[in-house]
Amino acid sequence: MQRPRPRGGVPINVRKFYIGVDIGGTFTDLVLAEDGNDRLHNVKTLTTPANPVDGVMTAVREALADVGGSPAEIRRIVHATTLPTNLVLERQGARVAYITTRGFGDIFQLSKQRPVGPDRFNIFYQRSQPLVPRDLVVEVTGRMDFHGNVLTPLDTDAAEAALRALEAKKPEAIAVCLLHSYANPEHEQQVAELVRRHFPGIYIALSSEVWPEYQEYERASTTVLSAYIGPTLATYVHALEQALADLGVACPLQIMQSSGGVMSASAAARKAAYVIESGPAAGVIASAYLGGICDFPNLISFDMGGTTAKAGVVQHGQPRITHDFRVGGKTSSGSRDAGEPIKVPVVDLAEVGAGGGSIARVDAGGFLQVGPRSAGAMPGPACYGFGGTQPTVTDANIVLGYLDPGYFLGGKMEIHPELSHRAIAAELGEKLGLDTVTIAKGIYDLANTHMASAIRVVTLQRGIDPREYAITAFGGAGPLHVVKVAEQFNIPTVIVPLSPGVKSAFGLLVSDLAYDYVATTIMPASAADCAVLDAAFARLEEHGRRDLAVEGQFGVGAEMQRSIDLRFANQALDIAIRVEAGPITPETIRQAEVRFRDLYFELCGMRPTDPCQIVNCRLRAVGVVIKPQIPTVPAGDGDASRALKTSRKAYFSETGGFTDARVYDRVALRPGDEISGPAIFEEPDSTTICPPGYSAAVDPHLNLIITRK
Amino acid sequence: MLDPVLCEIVKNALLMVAQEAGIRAARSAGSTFVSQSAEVACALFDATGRVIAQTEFGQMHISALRSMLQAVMEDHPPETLRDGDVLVTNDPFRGGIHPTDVGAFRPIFHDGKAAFYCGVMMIVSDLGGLSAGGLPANATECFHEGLMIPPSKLYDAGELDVGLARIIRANSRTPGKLAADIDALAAGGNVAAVRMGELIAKYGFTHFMAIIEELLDYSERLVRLGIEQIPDGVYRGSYTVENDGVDLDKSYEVVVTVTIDGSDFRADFTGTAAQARGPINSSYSQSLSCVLFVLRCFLDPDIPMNEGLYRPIHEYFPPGSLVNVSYPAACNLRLAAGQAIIDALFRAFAQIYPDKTMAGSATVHTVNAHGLQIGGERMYSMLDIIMGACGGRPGVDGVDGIPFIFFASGGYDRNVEAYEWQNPVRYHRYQLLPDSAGPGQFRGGSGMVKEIEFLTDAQLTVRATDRTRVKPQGVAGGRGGRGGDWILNAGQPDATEMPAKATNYRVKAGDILTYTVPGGGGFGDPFTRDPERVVQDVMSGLVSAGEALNAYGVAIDPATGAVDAAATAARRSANKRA
Repeated sequence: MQRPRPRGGVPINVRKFYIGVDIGGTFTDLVLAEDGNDRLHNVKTLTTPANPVDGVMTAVREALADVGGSPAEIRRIVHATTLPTNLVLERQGARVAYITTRGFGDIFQLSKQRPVGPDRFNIFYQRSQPLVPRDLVVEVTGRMDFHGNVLTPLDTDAAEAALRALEAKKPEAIAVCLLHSYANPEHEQQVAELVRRHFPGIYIALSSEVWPEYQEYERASTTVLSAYIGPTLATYVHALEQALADLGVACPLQIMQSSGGVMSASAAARKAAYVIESGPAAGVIASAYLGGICDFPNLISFDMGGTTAKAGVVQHGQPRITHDFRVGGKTSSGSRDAGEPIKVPVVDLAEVGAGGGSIARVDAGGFLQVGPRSAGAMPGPACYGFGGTQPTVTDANIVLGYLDPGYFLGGKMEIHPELSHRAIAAELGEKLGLDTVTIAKGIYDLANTHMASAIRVVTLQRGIDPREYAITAFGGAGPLHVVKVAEQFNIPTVIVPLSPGVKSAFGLLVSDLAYDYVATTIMPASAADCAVLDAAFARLEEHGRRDLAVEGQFGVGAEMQRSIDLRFANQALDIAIRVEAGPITPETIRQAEVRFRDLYFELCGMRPTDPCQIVNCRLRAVGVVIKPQIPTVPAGDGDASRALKTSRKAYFSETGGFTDARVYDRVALRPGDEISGPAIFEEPDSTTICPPGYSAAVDPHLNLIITRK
Repeated sequence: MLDPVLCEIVKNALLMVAQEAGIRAARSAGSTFVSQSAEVACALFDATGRVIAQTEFGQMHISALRSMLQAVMEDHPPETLRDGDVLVTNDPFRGGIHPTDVGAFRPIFHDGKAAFYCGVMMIVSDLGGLSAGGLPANATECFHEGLMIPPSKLYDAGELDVGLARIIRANSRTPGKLAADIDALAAGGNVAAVRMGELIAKYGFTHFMAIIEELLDYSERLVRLGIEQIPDGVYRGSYTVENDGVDLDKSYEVVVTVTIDGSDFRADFTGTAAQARGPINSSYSQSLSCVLFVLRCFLDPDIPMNEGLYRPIHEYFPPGSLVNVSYPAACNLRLAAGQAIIDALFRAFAQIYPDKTMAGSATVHTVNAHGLQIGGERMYSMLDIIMGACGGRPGVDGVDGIPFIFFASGGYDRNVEAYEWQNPVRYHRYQLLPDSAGPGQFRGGSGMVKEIEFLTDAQLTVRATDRTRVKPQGVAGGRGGRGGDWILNAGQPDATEMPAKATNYRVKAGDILTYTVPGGGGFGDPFTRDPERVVQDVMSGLVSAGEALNAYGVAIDPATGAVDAAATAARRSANKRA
């Protein structure tokens, strides 16, 4: 069903749309921006797991219909999806065969997974099933040393015989990781040739192409993951590209990566491991963009939804990246975790099981607990009236007067506040011997400390002082809690964007193309071989230019960001240090070493005098893209009373009880408005609480900037 | 009871402080072994030395910090302490484990007094002794195992005691790494001091202390609740440790009597063998950590670790025995006794819960090599750790290649590429070993095999901790796992079997060491194992067709995976008659 296209075709009338689509577990979120229009347009459709393309296309058609646009006017379309994560969690990926060096075929049977949390005391502990079954492992003879010198040539006859035997097992994808292939990919390439001959057209992932960094376990698991999700992802992105082309969309599809950069759909199909966490990355990119327009290059991204809350960090305008993510683990929090490690860059996020639907209970020892169990969407919080009897964080927000039962989802959903009171009194009141309001306040406070612990992980535990950062709140529930979370760290500035509930998909529209590469070049820093480093960077940049060229017509500029990983010769902790373009000189290394020693001191509080070692060269090739031009909004008359809806009693610890808070219609606020707390700002997808002692100002982008008075 | 919300908040906050200190200490550690594990054991204590919070990292170390602090406080009474002090110790006879496990304690001041302590501990780089890395397999005295450090102020009001630091460094073969380790321990305590200060400021000291009191009561309540669910009674268990690396024909029995009395738990090790000459002895705190670990497998796993958790637990470790070593015996191989403590306790608990138990597990093995780098004058010293597999459980096989859960470790934690970059060695195998799992209705985990070639002349110190000759035992009709071997130049004319516990054993450039670590024991009669599961093992290559027939009574065509039903039935019923 297509709308009539605008006629005439006079360039001045051509509209320019930018679309971001994020497939989540339940909903597919679409955000559409238009050049010259200050309002974003959002569409929410149900995710269609059987064929996710359908849900995306429904959303695209609906969005175009809503704004009266045509597919040809879409200038950019960027996509994020949980599909790869789900393939892994549900073990629904391809049947992968793994080819490796003789003697090392059991790497995934031996595994880096370990019992964590309550599993430490679980006699029946079992680790999750490896992505490659043992009978699909092929070992080949051939060995290199760490310089890439061939010690034993590849025995191609034996390898062929093994591949012939493998044919009967019908693998759907093949991953190849040979020892020290980061130093010399020759044997892997020879194996790939043989594989192509025996398995024409099969999906192949070579570790020397996917992520050629030393440390075989991580390189192998990154490669296997690529092969595991690659075939399905390739089929999916091609189907989506086709459906978009059939609709008349002219621009190529781009896919969000875990790093916060986007890549072409065809690159994503080849480099599947890079997109494993594409959805969460978008939220942090949205924060970075917000920080950019509000002039806060350093900020904490805080996103709270129904079941979890996530925290990430933006430093100097860039999201902080980790190379220690574990797929199927819970967080990249840096402590030991379950799940398989991947080395490709992933936005550093910590996640805790505290969201609006998190259930409050009294444990056997008599303490109040919140989460990680969630009431989900069904039955949901008690106040939904869907039969839920267990009190949740949302119920506490109702009792405290923070949420208006008459304006839930903009008034679209009926809410029963009496059920919130009843659930808290019945489930918790007697056990705790406290009144309902005190308990609700306790649930609210406890949820806030859980969320603070996620922030603690990505800031204090990473050597970052949160007091030097601003914080942004996303997600439907984030703005209800963010000021009290910020208060725990004395974070001075809170930024709440308009439509925070759907804002994270906006990150898709403002992200640049980015391709990451690595080369392992271990050498002492004091006697660095600059020619080797120059050659490594030249090779990486050639890859970068080649990959960016695929998107040529969209980039408005390319940037080659180089860094070198340094560490102390006696330690395992390496830190990436940015270096400038141009020939590497001993001075380049010397400066990098000084910077490394300073960063190390920030992180560890010590200044060892040990010599430094160069570990890796890294390159990020960035293709800067045209972003939607969103105008600022002219200032209003400064009289916020135009937006005043009513006032209601809400509980504030600052006043020690229920206090009248003025309630504003967020949509009617204008730049220049300034409001003192206690105040409540309502919009259809979210509610923001500004407690007593704080004030909120509206900026030219309609963000609320909340600071202490 | 105090505000149950605030209590929960403070409980979480204290744990976060301990975690941050532990992460901080691990991050800058010099020992690769530690820095790859991302965290070290850390505990917070009140002014009287009671644990108020502790990370769950390092179950092997869990009680040591608490015991070591008692010795620290005896030698350095609170009135002698100053803000910024850091005290270190490693004395296994006064709370420690063995000399290479060093604890550092930082008093945290409030109102001019030491109000709290933060303790952090880790295995440090070489601290001297008979062999590099401080794990001499044939040590007979603590003096062989490294420099003994009685509780000593390394930092006095923030000032490093240069003399002490120089003595410590001078006793190490790798002074740079060791210094980094000890600095890291101090850094962990310093970050805890800052965070505790913030909490005191936030809640007010008196209120904070009242909440902490409640937290201890809370853990005690939960532990008592759990013990009350266990039927009252007296239950016995034992497990035998093979030789101590010195007297090769002797073995040592660990005997435990468990008494459940209402909400109290008692573990009495009377009857356990006297301490060995070799280093397989366990210190008091090491033994207590093992007891706590097993008990917690039968309690709510989320009970916070603090003093309250200890209150219902009563232990007796006879002095001078294998489980409570006396001065000056050696104890670096203490996990031989430790693992036996765990298995003896599991056998006692199996009388209460026959469906919640585990067959004998293999344990941790180490290889330490040192020598010259290729063509150079530089020395290297490397530590490789290999974990054995855990035993079968009712309903569940032991996990292949994953060690017993006590170690909370993975099976492939150490990358061969990293070892080859740093040391003149080349690995040839790092694999599961077929037919190494103890057969059972639920078999043990498969053991593994590693093969290292030494590219320069080297000295090896190997510690097959236990269960190479006396295999990990099967349970309820299950059979033992395959033991272990250490063979030089296997398959060559000069093939030599090495002793399983050897110190500074000389090898030449080009020698290849092949070593296998045991598989876990099986649970239940292997002839009752579901033939389909046997087929899966045969097809995946972990069990041979021969083993399938002999150990499990299942006749399988290894090419197709087809089961010969008639032959299987005949074999299995013949077994029954026999």
